[in-house]
Amino acid sequence: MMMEELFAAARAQPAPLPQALRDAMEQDALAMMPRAKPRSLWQVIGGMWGASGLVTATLAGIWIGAVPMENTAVWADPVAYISGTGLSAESGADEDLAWAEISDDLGWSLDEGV
Amino acid sequence: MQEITQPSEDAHAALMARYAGGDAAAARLLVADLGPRVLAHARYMLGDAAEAEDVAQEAMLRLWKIAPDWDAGRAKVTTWLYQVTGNLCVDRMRKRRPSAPLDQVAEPPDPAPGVEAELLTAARNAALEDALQALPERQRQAVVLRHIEGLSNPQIAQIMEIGAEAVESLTARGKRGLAAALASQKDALGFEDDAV
Repeated sequence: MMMEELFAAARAQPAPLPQALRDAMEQDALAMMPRAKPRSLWQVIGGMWGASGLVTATLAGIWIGAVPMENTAVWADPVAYISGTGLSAESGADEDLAWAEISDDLGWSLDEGV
Repeated sequence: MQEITQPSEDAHAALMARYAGGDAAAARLLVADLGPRVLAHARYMLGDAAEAEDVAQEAMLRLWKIAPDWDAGRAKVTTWLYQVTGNLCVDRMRKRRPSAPLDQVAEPPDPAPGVEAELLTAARNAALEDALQALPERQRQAVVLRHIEGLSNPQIAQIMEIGAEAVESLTARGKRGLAAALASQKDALGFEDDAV
């Protein structure tokens, strides 16, 4: 009984960590701390998945920039535009005519650009 | 005996990984949680506050050194740390004078009637520390780990690198030794019943 009470009292009053010792331990820790390894460019861009997305976005941007804006048929069927199938000068003309009709119905003028 | 609740070992391992990755905040958390335990263990083992602080700092230094190579699946952080602390304490004890015999344990201050409860508790702790110093080092380590640090027998066996039966034997003999050393001080320590 006495022993259990003594042990309980010892457990209840753990030795506090003196501030000087705490500081010394923390200084040791900082002195010994491994430096964080610099991240490679591959890690920065997110590895394979990040690089895949970046390449896709880049190609899409180039493609968007390269396509003539007036050739709106391209937007409907970009694969046909790239492969050269299903797209002709007439189809572009048809598209222009269709846009002109829609613009007239809405009271717009394509020539004015509004 | 009631087990003492300890913070998750997984949390310690995670903090070790964070520290190894260059996170200073993880080091502060490890110091805050493990520092007092290491110090208390060293103090009970050595019976000397200054030496205990040296040992505690050295044990934590070894923790920082091993952090980059820490294998969470190999051992618990606390088990490893108690083992290192125990070994450092044993090294120190072997370099200094032999333990005082049980009958030379200092008498605690006489708590006069009306003395504050805090003083009585301090006297009890001092008597326990003195009695622990009179035990053989292996018994002392086992008793401290079991009854003060609240570790399980398997964990103590791992720390002391002995079998679980040996742990039971050491703690039992150590407890009997303490009881014998403290029996004569029972009244002075404010214990009135006959049970030791």
